[in-house]
Amino acid sequence: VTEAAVLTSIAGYTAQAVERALFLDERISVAHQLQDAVLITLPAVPGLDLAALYRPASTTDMVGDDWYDAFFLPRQEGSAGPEDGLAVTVGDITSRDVQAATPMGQTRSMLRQASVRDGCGRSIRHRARRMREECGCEVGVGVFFRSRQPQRSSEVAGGRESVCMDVRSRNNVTITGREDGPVVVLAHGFGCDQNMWRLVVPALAERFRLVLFDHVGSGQSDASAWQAQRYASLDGYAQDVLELCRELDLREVMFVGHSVSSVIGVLAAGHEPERFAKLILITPSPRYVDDGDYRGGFSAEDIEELLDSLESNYLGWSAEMAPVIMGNPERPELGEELTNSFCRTDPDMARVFARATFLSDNRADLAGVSVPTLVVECSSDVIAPREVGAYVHATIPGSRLVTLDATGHCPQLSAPEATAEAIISFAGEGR
Amino acid sequence: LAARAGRALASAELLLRAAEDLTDTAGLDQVRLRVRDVVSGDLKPSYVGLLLADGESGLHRLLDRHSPHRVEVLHENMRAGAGFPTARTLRERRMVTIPDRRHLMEEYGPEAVAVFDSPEPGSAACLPLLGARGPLGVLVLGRDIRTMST
Repeated sequence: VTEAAVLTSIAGYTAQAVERALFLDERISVAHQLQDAVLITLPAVPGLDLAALYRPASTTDMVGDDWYDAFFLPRQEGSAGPEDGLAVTVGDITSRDVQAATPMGQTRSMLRQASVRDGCGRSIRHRARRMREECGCEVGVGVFFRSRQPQRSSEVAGGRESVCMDVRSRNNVTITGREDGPVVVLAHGFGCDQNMWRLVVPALAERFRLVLFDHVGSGQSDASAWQAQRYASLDGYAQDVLELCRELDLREVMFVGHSVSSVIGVLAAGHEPERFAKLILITPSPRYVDDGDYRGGFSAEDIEELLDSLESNYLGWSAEMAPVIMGNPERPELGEELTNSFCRTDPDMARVFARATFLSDNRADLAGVSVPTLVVECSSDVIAPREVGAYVHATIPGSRLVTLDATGHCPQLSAPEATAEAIISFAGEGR
Repeated sequence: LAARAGRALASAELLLRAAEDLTDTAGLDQVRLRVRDVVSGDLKPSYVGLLLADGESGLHRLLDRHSPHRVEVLHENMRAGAGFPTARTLRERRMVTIPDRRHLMEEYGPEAVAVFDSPEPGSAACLPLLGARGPLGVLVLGRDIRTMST
């Protein structure tokens, strides 16, 4: 009887273990179905080998908290590239087992939706944040983009909570104008954004394919792409311009740079001269600080004072300096517009950009310019006085100089017709 | 008295070990191995079998890949209404004992004897595995020496 009781007890323990194992098996089966639904079969991409190895982090349900996905991006309206691209997302939910599977699937689907909506644009990051808020779990996502053409590959890695964008989203690229026209890239100056070109765009759009963008840290660019170290030098912005050209497969580019973007264009053309057909430098200055015989227009003390003022009270500095930079005091709306543009810029990013702008010395880069260049100066500009225009013209081999009958540092706003005419005249030559 | 106390202690230790070893099992394969290991000690069975219920239709054997007995391979499945002690255990949800081969022949017939002969135990006990929502299967313990008490 005792032995029967012992056996019955053992059978009871065994029954409990079997019941638990059956329950776990069922749960694992459901989890695997969820997992299978999330992990897709990778698409076939000509010229690109894609492979995935998935190992679940958890040993309980044998279901992980990570996912991968690969899908073709829909062709974007206004895209300058000839083909659609591919997006690969790799993500992590900081939860485990089946609890992670649901937000994992939701996040993956949301990222696909975001991609469809704006070509893997800025809303991905916001969506990841929303997932975190709504689900109470951390969502880390890396998004990689690749054109079908290998030479146009671009890849940016993302860390936890940060999501990397394609260049179009990073720089808020706008493409407009004549579809079969020569490509003109319009690059804005410090404290501005692509909106600064709005008065010249209508005239240019009739003849050219226009590519407008915002430098990172300006306008509607993606703030999450900001890297203080990268953008502490003008070369960081030049690299962005080159990435933009590669991403959009732009060739024979006519680059129009305003103010500091003139130098950025010079640097970009120095790296890849074959990509650029012409440079149009509007109110350029390779160095703002006087240096021996060189007249930049500012003493070292002036620039230090300017930067100190900017760093201590950016908004106050903007309100004071923007009208000075703009000139045309009889048209206060222009100064007000520039003030507002300055004020929309993130102060921390503006400080870094300002140092890169006002402390750089790119005089040595001018002599290396090998593409036809037009220098556009204003007859009265306190930021880039005529001596500077003359210096740039004299230093860039074979360059041409046009002096607009305009005042201030922003002729595209103060004298848009004359500015557009100068651009059209030079860009249209030989075409 | 000392012998009874010794047996009681052995039984208590066996139950404690069974409770411990079967608590942290995660899958059926693990359960299968643990059950064999637990009862292989003090009870000295010649065969440990584990059969799981297939809903209402019958039983299937959870195979012990390390078992030398052919029954593990030859008799993987059986109907719930089959004339076997294991099926009866499941139907009646109580322990069924087989004291010897003759009893098996008289009660269950030659087909059951053929299955019984595969592991060749002298006696056997079939125990129902009762879960919260009904019977889950049957645990079979076979012995070479007929020491099974009922």
